[in-house]
Amino acid sequence: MRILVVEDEPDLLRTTVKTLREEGYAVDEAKDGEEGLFKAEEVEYDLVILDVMLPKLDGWELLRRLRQDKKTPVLMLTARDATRDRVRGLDGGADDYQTKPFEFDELMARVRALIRRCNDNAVPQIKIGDVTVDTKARKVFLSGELVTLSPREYVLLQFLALHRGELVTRAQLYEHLFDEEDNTFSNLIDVHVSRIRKKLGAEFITTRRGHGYCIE
Amino acid sequence: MKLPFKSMRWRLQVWHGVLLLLVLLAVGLKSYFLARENRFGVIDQELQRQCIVDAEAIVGGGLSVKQEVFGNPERATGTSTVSTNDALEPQSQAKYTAILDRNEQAGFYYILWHRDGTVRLCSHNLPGDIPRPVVSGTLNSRMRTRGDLREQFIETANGSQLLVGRSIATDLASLRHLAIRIASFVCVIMTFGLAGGWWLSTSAIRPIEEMTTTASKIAEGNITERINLSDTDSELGQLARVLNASFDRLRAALDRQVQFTADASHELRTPVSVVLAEANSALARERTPAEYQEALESCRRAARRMRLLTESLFKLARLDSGEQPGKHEPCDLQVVVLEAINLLRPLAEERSVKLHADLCDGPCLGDAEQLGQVVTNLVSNAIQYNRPGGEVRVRLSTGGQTMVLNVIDTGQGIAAVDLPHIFDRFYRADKSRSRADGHVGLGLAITKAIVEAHGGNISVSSEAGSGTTFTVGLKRPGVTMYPAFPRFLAINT
Repeated sequence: MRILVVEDEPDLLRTTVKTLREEGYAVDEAKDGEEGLFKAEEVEYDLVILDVMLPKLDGWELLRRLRQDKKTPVLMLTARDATRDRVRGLDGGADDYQTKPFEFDELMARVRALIRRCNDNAVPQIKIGDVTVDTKARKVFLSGELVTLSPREYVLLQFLALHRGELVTRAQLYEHLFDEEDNTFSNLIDVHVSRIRKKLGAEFITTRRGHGYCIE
Repeated sequence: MKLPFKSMRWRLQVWHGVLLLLVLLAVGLKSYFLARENRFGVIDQELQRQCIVDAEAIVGGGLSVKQEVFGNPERATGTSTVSTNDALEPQSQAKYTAILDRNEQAGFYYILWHRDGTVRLCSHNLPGDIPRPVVSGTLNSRMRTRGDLREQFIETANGSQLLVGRSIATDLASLRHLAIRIASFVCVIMTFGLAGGWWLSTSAIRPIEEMTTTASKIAEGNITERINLSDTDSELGQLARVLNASFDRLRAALDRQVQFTADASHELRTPVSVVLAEANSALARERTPAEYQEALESCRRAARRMRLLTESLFKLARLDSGEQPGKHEPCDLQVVVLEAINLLRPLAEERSVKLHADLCDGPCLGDAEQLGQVVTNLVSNAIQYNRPGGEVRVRLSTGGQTMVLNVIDTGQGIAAVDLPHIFDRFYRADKSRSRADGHVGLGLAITKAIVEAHGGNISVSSEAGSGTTFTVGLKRPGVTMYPAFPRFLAINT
């Protein structure tokens, strides 16, 4: 899951990004509106966390321009909590609204909920045969037994599980699972997939040679 | 408006009613008395005529009382009848008796007294005892009214008296009838008058009531209400316009206040978010000492920012409350400026900005510390928004009754769009460099507030690309200082 954080307060940006990465997300950052809009249009993010008060281009304007051709989920982050502002944010195409100051637990819950909702999953558990993916606890169970996965393996599995039945290309996986700071090798995804197969069974993830992966 | 007799409408109504009643009473009474006078005039004329006719009949009839009544015939009335009636024909006597009888039948009565008080002659229809009038000794005829009887009497030279009278009961009855008609007319007019007055006062009061309703809605907090200005030319329309203008200004001030509070809260939320986020993140799991240190440094930066912000807000609040500047002491602006420049020299060197001072003696009344802050704010802005290698010129000069301080920089200048707002609270012309350099957006607002509290003025001119000039004018001692005024209504102006 790849997230863009647009925030002009450097300390807050750093901490938010750090916390999101610790939760296993691939996170990009932008320090002003222009940079934020550029990145949001370039990359298929799973979520954009957008501050309202930004230099160069404010959050409202960024959202308006982004919505002209992108449906990326947007979580507005702002110090203004007047109802008018919240309504304006939601009407302007934002998917959720978080006022500052906030607790990270709440922000993370909103991030999870938004990503889930935007992948048509209303409940935090995804069941695929014997395998259960708990997106809230970020844990995977095989026939009720906890399976230990590395954070990367987990997000790869979660991404495939959220797109169950769809063909997920390698390019998609790279775009959604690695942020701009990762220096990935082309075979890294194959390595992760093979490890997941060892833990959950070889048939769990099918390979469409030359195209990508899929969970049936 | 609850006590009826305190209300303007009621008072108008009462006054209007009283005036109308007085006028109607005056007119009614006058017409009644005119009618009465007129009626009595007619009665009196009749009586007078009757009196003469009866006297002539008595004299002409050669009645036996003639000598007693009139004494010497030559002195009587001098009429030919009197002088030639010594031997009257019997039928002529009968004729005069008939006249008396006819008059008696017409309702007149008469009575003749001899001068010794004895009744010599009287009609049959005398209404009871008639008191004899007092002998006056004059020959004039006189009138009197007894109950519903009206009587005229004449006195002859020898003291005999003839009284002719009649009942005026029917006349009095018709006068009473007239009085009743006038009274009912007064009542009808009064009713219409009061109704008209009520309508008039209601329509006169209605705009006031509308204003009251609107004003109370506004007092209850619905600040968007306005008085309907349908009747703009009347005095009340003008009042309504004035009130609406006041409400507009009040609303603008409130909006500014709300905006200011929202901005202040927004500015405080950001550092609080940082502290909360850092603490949450640091406590989430075991961290390395370097990570802890980074988190703490970040918290310290946020706390310092909050301190700066709260100090600025407090300063502004104090200036807004209209408190006089702390001191009104003689001080020298030259010294104030020099001290500020010396403090800022390291910053200027760091930014490779040259500082020039062109000063003169600057005797001044005020708070040296606050004035120092004015200079510091302006000069540090001039340094920070300058280009590397640029210069800042601080000039102090005397212009008439004011001391003029100019701070001129060679920076990027301020865009014309931003220029009118740069003294606004939390307004930042250059939003991209807002937070990193430790500014909270209140420096110029505080500067302006201090200068105005000292009775001075501050202005700015700028040319994009070539630099900005701030000009502060302060009164010199000996010139009356304007008192600081409550700035609640002037926030962000």
